[in-house]
Amino acid sequence: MSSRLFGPRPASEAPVASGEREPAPALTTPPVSGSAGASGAGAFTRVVGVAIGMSMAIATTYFVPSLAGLRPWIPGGDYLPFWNVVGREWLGEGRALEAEEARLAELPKRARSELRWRAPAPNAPVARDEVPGGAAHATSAAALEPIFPPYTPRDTEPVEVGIEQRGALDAYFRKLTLVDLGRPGAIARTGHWGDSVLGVDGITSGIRRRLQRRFGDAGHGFHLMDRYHPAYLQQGVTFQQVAPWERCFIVWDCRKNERRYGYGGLLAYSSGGAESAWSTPKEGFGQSVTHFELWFARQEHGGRFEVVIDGTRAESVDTRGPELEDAWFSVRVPAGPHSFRVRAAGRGSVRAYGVVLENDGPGVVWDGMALVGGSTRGLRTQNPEHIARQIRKRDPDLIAFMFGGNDLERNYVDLKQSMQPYYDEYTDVLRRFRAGKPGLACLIISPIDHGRRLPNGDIAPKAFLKPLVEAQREVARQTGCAFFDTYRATGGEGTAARWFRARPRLISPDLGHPTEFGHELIAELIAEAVLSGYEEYRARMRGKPFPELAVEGASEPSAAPAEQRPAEPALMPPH
Amino acid sequence: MLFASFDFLLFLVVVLAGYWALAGRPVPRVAWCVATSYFFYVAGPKPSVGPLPMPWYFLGLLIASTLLDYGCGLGIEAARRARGLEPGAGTGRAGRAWLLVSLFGNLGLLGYFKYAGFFSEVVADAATLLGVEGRLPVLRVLLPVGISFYTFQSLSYTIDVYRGRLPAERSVLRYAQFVAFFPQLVAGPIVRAQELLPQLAARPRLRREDVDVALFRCAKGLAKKILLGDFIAGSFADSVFAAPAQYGSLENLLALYAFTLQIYADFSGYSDIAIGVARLFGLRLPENFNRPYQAVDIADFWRRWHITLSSWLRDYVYYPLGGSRRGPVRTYVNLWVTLLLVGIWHGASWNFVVYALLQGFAMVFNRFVSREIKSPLVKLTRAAAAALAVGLGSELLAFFVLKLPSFGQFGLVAFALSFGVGLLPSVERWPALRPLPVLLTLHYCVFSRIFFRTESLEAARQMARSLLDFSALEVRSGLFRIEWLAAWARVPALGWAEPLAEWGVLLLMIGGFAAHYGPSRSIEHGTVRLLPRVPALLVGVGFAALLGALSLVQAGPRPNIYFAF
Repeated sequence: MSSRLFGPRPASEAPVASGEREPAPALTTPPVSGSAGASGAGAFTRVVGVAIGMSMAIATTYFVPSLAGLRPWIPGGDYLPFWNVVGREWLGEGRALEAEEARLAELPKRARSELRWRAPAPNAPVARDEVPGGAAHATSAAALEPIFPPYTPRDTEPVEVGIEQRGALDAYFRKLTLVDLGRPGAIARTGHWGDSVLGVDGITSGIRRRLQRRFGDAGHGFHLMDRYHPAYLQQGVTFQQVAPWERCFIVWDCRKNERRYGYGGLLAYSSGGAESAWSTPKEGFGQSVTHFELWFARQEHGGRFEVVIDGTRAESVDTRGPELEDAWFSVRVPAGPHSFRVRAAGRGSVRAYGVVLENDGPGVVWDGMALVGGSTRGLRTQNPEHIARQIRKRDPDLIAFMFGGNDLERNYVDLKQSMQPYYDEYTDVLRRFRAGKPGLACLIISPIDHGRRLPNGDIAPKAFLKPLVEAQREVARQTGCAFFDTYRATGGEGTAARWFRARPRLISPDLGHPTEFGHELIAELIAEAVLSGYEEYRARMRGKPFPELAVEGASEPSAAPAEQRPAEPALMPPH
Repeated sequence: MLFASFDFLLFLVVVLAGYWALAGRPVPRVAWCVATSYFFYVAGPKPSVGPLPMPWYFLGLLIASTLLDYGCGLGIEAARRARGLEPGAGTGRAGRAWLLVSLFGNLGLLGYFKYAGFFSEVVADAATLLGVEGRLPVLRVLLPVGISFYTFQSLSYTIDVYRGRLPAERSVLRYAQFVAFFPQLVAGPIVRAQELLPQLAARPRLRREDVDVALFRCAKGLAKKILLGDFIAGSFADSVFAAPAQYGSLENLLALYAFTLQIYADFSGYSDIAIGVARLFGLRLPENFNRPYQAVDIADFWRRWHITLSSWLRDYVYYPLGGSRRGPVRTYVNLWVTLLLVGIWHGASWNFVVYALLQGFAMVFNRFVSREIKSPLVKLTRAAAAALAVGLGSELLAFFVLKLPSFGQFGLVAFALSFGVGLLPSVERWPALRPLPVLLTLHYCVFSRIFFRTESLEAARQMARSLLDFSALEVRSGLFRIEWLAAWARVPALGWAEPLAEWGVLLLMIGGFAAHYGPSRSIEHGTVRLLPRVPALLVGVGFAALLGALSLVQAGPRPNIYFAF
């Protein structure tokens, strides 16, 4: 191999004393001046000939209609030669664009700032509500007269676009109040399903982080058994697929005979050897866990799971049962960082839906279920009794849906004549999910603007977004759910083009998926809207009866804190 | 202004006509060149996407830098005369104060516009980590296009005048033309004053051969930039780099290959066009690329990639630091510093700091293991020692920078690979082995491109993790699809084109690399030889047809990657 840095060492490279000159670099190109070559006449003739040929070719595009797409300039079109001087300065087009660019520059600032400071400062206290007189006073006062205490609003920024039909979230805000008042064991859980826009847990982790910073960190929440797609990547928990599982994802509809895909939409199964591992992160949210729960199914000829905690303690789980039924296995651990492994230990086939990592709170959990390629049409395929059971077990206080990205071509197909099929399927999904917990608060979150690229490079909005968003708003109204118009909150039509121009970019070159900055921005808009709704709720509820406050541990509808919940028949005696 | 735009075609016709009409009148000709070059600098197209181009008044910086160095050149020469040193005599030094003014002025400009924002971020981050209350402001400064190029070009002039290598240019217009000559103004090649000023001083001549070579170079450059650069980026690579965590290991790897090809095609394509256009003015610019992905080691790579930048740093940084004349340790330090500057010249961010460190340490490693040693035992020991250092450094990179869970394995693989590299015999003695070091060097470049291309350190981490996850070793459907071709392929008679449409982008990538490693040079020479036999009208029609075909895939003019540096 050559050892020279930049070509052969010049012969004059002897030790140089000060004042001696360095070897002169060789000229790389000879000057043309004075060259003894052919005179310029033939060259100029050739240049003129080429120019004429090009002009003829370009002129042809103006006379032949089928070549219209090749015309470099179209009268009345957008093209203006030397725009940066002619258009921007002379014609004054620059001012409006510069103003928009200044506005665009603001957008990623907030996202950039949040991304840089994702982890909370060490020992940062949770900004919970402060009850006048302290918690002891609140408790004793609450024992006599349980009412909503006064609330001091935070300096949350006013939201331009808030949650519509906010009252539909009252049940969720009620739980949040308990969390905010530091009620032991109070956990406000949300299950958030969406299409690939929720990929890499970008939006959901942003919401989770903001709410946990405000109300407390009750853990990461639900995680699938395996990564079915590179875009399924959860933040706040370290996951490793140690040995692969067989997978059946709800979008693939691969279990047509039973359609049980679990809370997160992925069924993982194995006859032995498959293994997944989770561990709490070293910094940021989700560091402390007190209980780990495996979600699986019993079945005839079911095999065994081995659950290993911190590499030392191993538990065996037998999944045999008379028939296919959902089941759960929980382990409690001391509060702190932990690692967990789940392995298919053979003796039959095992089926698993996912795991839950939480602590005892008080705090917030925000489950992010990104269903890449998913839609409400796909969610509808879930077995209704199964999903209701899953919801009942998970016991969320709020379910949220953010779909639409995979429905944008349906205006050419089944939604060409009417949006009624869309209303029906979305309503059906909500009904199935809420069957697991009547009165469950629900929130529909609209998609953002999507773009498509025109031949000249411009970005145009996809036309079906607006009617789709309106349809979702109508579904929310009809079903008693709240609605958040992300489309309007992010700027409405043309947002995809604006976000693509922003630096850093807020949307990917596919003009449909936000970048990490876009995720943060959307998360902030949603979280701020939820917080604003909560503050309005607290102001509205001040002085009103709040019986849950009276009973210690009356934070869960089942009226029992986590450690006292009736144990699931999960731990079988080892064989 | 972008080369690949109709604006440039209009501009070039007018400029060429004026230039050759004034060929025999030096002062008006040079003034025309300067004025049109300044116009080229500010008259960009309206972007269909992306930020607005820099405002016209940034031209003031270019003019200020030009006048500064023109003045400093004259000052240095006056100082030389005062000490009895002949200008351009090649010996003696004088006028250090003027040189320092030029250095501080140019590097100060570059430092402020390019690096002030990054340094303010570093200070703000450090303050927060140390617990300083409040968030310090972070500067966001608009980077003038081409500032890294024209400041270096200008600096080389004053340094050479100081060293006595050439006399100071008396004509301010000619000096301004040297700095601002539009084909190489915004993205090089970085031309030395000794190469260009004599050409500018002479009456230009245009030969028929120049016209054909120019047209060929321009056509080649446009095809490279648009097809292998913009199209592959827009159709595939950009989406992956925007969200690498959402793509699998193989998809990320292919995106890196795509970018490796893209950046070469984009930058070398620009250089081709610059060299071709300059030929139409009767001027010769230096070559900037020499099949860099055929390099057998990192030193060879930097002799083939952006040749004018690396030779600039060789002559104005590496040699003045002592080159290889002050012992092996100092040589390593000099190499490392030089490559560090190469890296951070490209950009001001942690990504480029890491990129620079990778290049610097690779160069030091290469130097260490490639000295000829007869004793096999010593060679083995040397290779082991170098591999140990590389393994350790790789673990530190994986742990602190990339935050990989499997940093130990990463270090082990790096150790094994570098141990093997350290034992490889010289390619000169074993030519049959050449493909192996070429492949290794290529992949080292590909790996370092993670930091070159991703938009943040976090994105680099995501990409590295996705790559080293070895999960999802398949490619999703439609990733390499050419949509408009796929639409045509739906026509029954064109069904045979469906595989082409479905895998078109990947095929284009393979074709691009094949051209790089294949005998395309002989094909190019053959084409250039044949071109004079083709009538001029036909050449013009053919050139227009090529432009039209390229415009169909272009989807709007897109700035060259190196405009951002």
